[in-house]
Amino acid sequence: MLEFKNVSYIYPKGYRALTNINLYIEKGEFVFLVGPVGAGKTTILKLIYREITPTVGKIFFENQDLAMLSHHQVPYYRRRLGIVFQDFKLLNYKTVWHNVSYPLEVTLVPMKDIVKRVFKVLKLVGLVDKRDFYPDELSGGEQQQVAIARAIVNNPSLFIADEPTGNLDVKSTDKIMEIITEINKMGTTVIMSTHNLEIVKKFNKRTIYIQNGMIVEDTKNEIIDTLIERNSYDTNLIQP
Amino acid sequence: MLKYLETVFVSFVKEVYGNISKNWGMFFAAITVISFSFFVLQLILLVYYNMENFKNKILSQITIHVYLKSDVQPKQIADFMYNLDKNEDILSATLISKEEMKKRIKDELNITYSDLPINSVVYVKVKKPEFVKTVSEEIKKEKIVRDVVYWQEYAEKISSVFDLIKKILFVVIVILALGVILIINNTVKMSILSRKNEIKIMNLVGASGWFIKAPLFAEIFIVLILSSFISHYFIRIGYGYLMERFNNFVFFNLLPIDYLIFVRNMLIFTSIIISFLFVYSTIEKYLKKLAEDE
Repeated sequence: MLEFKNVSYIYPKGYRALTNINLYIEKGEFVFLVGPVGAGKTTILKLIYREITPTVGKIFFENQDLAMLSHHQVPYYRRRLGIVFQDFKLLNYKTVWHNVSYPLEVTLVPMKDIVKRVFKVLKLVGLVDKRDFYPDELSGGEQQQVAIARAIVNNPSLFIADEPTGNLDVKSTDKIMEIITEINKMGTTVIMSTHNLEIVKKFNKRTIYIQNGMIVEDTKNEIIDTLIERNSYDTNLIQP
Repeated sequence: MLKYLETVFVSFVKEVYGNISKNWGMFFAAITVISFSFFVLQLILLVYYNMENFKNKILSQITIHVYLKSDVQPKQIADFMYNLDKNEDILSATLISKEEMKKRIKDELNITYSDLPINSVVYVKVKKPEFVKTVSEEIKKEKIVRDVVYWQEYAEKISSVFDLIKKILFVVIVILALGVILIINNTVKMSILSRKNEIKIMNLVGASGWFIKAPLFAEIFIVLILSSFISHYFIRIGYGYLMERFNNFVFFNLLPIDYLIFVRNMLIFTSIIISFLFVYSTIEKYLKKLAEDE
């Protein structure tokens, strides 16, 4: 489904963020991207949602070279993705309902379909009762649930989460992980970046470990214990 | 298809309404500033057109007096009058014959000079004031003409003074128009910056380019059109007051109040042109800049 071929990325100011990344993600997979702050996790995600294009190498999504997408094709590509961030990126002047329905409104989905789909995802994340609340009336965990609902309301084939539990307490983290797992079970491919190795350990999914812009491990997380023990890859790695 | 268009329209109106209501303060500020600029612009345009009108009125009063020689034959006069009639720059040419002239002197001054060397005269009026000089020079070349008189110096002085003032006003109009463009540019910039988060989210959820740009474009367009009407309203009140108070007092008439409609329409037309030529590219420029800053 998603393939990185010899991808390197250098930011315009000269900072080398990624070096020769090769990876392949199957449809329906759940992949953790782990690594210390500044390792290149977010850069990988930005490349996937086509915020940036590789300096060297190619990225294919469902056999389509992302760098070949024209400026006008990018929005249509992004409609196949669901993206969640650590800081939620919600619109505070819109209610939960309108935040979730927003991607459908801007992609001109008919109103009756919007109602059906928004109810469905709010039910999934457990926020139907709070649909008329504004984001600042919700807890951090609930705000992230709204962001997840917004990300999946378009039925994306790929769900990308950039440190979705980074600002949350343990209880909210569990709830968010439960929802993301549920999304994956429904057939959506999930790529989630995190520095929380406890989560990675608990969910036993494919884990790609990045350090200094390079993949240093790509494995099921049987080796996470070793990683935690050795803590050899990076001393800045934040452990819960 | 109809359902789809309805969805597009409803979403678009909602987006524009949402943008305006969320940024009401900025919307109001933009309208105030642009209305004021348009007000000054219209004021200067009115001064410009009234001056042009004033100048034309003065110059159109100028009649060219063509004095014919004493020995000209009626046939020559008839040919001469025929040529004047054919000249497209001439509005009218009235011949006052030798006899008629003597009669007028007798009637008006009540005196008779049988041996007075009075000749025929032709009064010529031109279609446009700027034709006075050229037409006079052409007429002067005719064999049967003894002299041509018009208030040459007066006409030229008036023309040059008015032309200078018009040039200055034109420069002021251009500067003001540039000022308005600068204000619009700034309004677009502020509008995009105040919606930075929203635009970012729109980009991430797959809103197409036009869906992001069109409401911004519509907002500026509404600001321009509303500003045109508001400034027109105030200038109409002011101009109406001036007309009522001074029109019978000054020695020329101000242009009729309906003329303001022309000025307003011109402003609206210019706003539409500016919107399509300038606002859209400005929106593109700042959206690109916003994406680069991310």
